[in-house]
Amino acid sequence: MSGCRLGLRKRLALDIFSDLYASTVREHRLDTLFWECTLRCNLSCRHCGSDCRVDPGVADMPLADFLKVLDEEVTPHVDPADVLIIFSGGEVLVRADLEEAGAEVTRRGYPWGMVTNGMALTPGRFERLLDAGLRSVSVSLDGFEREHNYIRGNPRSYDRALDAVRMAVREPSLSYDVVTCVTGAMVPQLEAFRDMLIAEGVRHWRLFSIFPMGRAKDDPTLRMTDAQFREMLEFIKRTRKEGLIDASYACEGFLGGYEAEVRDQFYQCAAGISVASIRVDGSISGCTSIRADYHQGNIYRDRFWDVWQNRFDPFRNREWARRGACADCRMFRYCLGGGMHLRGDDGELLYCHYKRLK
Amino acid sequence: MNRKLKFALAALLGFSAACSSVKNAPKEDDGKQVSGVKVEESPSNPRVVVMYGVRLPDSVRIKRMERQHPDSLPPVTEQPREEASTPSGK
Repeated sequence: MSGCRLGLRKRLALDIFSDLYASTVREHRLDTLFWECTLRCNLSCRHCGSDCRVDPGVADMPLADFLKVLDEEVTPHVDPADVLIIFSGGEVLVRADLEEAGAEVTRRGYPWGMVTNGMALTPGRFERLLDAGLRSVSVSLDGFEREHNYIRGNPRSYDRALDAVRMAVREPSLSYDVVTCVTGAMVPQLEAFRDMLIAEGVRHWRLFSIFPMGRAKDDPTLRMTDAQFREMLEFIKRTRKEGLIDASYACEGFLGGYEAEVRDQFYQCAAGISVASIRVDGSISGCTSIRADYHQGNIYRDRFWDVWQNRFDPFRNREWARRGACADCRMFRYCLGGGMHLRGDDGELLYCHYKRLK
Repeated sequence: MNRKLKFALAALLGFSAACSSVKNAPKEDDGKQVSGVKVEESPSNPRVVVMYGVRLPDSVRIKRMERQHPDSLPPVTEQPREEASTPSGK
């Protein structure tokens, strides 16, 4: 059963999952740490959630500052092999010291990965990053050439991203996925795009849709209608059944009857539960998609581990989110008010995936 | 109700993978038989790929599973998973 309706069997499973999730929240074991190492970017994408630009007016965080936090605040409390460090931006490849950063993180025993638009990923740089311990990469590819270049605002961006995908696919030591922001224009082309990815040897594909943040909130060309949103979910469901490529919808949003059919797991927002971020200005948050109102501290002022252990209550106790559209919603017990990145400055829900399916 | 029993119930309902993670859970054929129900044990912290995140490296995932459930993995699943030329389904 799909759409917004939940069958009894899935509802029972969600109840069990909610119990399991509650114990995960209590444990809040850190297993993913984002480092927003720069806000500089070599593109100016129409949908950027970070509002990053070539010169963002915010300096990159010095590598030494991040390593200090790792050494003094994280490593003493975790098994580094269990904590995935993700370099995020901006565009991480604009940092000239990225290889050094990777090597230092690897030397400390942490696996690391990065998210990239591929523009600056030459074969030589790719080799150097692998030598520095790169273990996982996500490459953004938002459709065929016309759609991708429109979103990315650069006529060479599609070719460069595809080159990056090809490098990742051919490297057996690397985990990878292609990440696609699905717009309304892309929906009719999803099958053809999927077939192209399969032909390129891509096995892991993550699709997401725009949420109203950053530049995207003012651009109607990036959005999908409710019917298109449902069509995309049906496509993912169908593709997963066919089994030729590991397609999944991103972690955002509770999807009612589509739960467990378009993703591997039931919906959960891991921000502040098992995921933390150190933003470019030192702010400590859940994941990098979450607005500044939910920062819980700053590495230049606070002890990271103390913040992680004691200040993430808004992420771990979501009763405060039971307001507005969520106040009387029967799904709150499963979604806990949706992803933290979908909450506005005042705590109100900006966007509800479940409601779009009604 | 303990965690193991909850996973058993989820398996009964056909949602053991959704309550953990398909990518993290042992293959179905490797499940243990408990009261006639196949139980897939899962790491206590199923990993979720966040929106701007990356896939968990295979070797790290396997290492974590070994550490958290040393008795739950038969030798065949302890080997690093190779990227097969023909992708498997969910």
